[in-house]
Amino acid sequence: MRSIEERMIDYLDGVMDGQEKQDFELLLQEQPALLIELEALQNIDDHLDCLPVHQPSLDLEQRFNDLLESTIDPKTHSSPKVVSIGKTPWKNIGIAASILLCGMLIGWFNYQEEELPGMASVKPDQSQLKYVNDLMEAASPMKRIQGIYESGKLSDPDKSMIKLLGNTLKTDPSSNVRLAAAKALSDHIAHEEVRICLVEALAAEADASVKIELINILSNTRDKSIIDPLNQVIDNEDDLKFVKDEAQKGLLLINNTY
Amino acid sequence: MYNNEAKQYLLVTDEAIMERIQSGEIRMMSQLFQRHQVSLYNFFYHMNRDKGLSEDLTQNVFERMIKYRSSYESKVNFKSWMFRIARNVSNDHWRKKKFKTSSDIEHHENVLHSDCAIRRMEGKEKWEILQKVMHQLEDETREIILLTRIEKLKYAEVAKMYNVTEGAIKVRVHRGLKQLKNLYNQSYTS
Repeated sequence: MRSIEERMIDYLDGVMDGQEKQDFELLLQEQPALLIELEALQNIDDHLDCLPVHQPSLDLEQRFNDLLESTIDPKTHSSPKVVSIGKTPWKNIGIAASILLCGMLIGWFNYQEEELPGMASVKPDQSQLKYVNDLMEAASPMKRIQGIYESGKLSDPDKSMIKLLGNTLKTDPSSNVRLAAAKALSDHIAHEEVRICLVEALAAEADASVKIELINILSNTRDKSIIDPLNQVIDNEDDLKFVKDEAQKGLLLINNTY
Repeated sequence: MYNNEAKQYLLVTDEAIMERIQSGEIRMMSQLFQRHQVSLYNFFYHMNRDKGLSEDLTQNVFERMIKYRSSYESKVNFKSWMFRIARNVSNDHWRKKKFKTSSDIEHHENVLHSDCAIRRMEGKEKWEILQKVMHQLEDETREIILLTRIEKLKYAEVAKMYNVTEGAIKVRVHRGLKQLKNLYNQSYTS
């Protein structure tokens, strides 16, 4: 004979069949305390479904990609280079500081790109930008993801970097790369240009996983302007149910905020 | 309309991807990473409430899945195999550490307070209370609740992980939910 606890869980899961279900419902009628207990379990179970989903950082994806590359090709895969400071650190630090200063001066005179409003005035040096640019334009999707990851390390990415990330999000053929670009752009969500870019990408995106990521990023802004794009997802016949469900959750999140 | 890549992504099962990985297409592991990194991370996060540690443990699971890919049996549900590895990774971590130190607990408390402040502002006290009381459950009870109610693994699969009967798992789910409800009510009213 199965215990009452097992039967309650089966009833809660809706897996009881015919006669057993009827017998159990009869038991619930006879013992109101059991019905109260069942309702309490149902209630907490419903709450569990609403537990917020936490997002891991982009660093996890980068580490996984490194792991995968080193497994596939252990001979040619090189781990990130670590530059040793050596026994005379102050001398080397001085040289590094001089190079950095020269780079900053050259960058200050030559780099004429306009900044996004609100962004800090110190820009990353040209070599950093070029390194990230080259990676993001590489043929290998893994390299492009690495480029996106490196862009996150830049202390103050300027408008050109944001544009490059936005372009990657909208046009890259690999959904993994687009996903990484979306996550990287979410760090700059405070800027209206970024939000516009993400909304445009949401309308054009075909991949369900990327679309869900975009919906989550945009919903978390709690910005009322996101309501229309989310409604468009819900109304779009081509979108799958679980994508529409995410959009619906996003709408609830925004509506609960106001 | 979905492009071919998207269709492929949605239609291929985890088990089919694992078979391809076993036959040498290791790069396909990135598909499984995209599908499961968030649920694994959340499983660990609900167990230890430490973001950095949860990422490390998630990475360890994928490392072991790559390393022991040949041991996967195609008849076994992939998610069940993955969470069995996740449990081992978690157990190994805490075994090495022997016990949770006070600094771990302080760290958890910090996370809890900072989250709490934000969530209260957003009117999400209920979720925050639930997350907090979840942590008051015994580790194994919390694990079983997460695997069955959040990850929706079958009771029979979870029973195999713990070497007990399916009925025993259902009893533990029942007791865990009941305990959770009591803790939640106590916290919510106070």
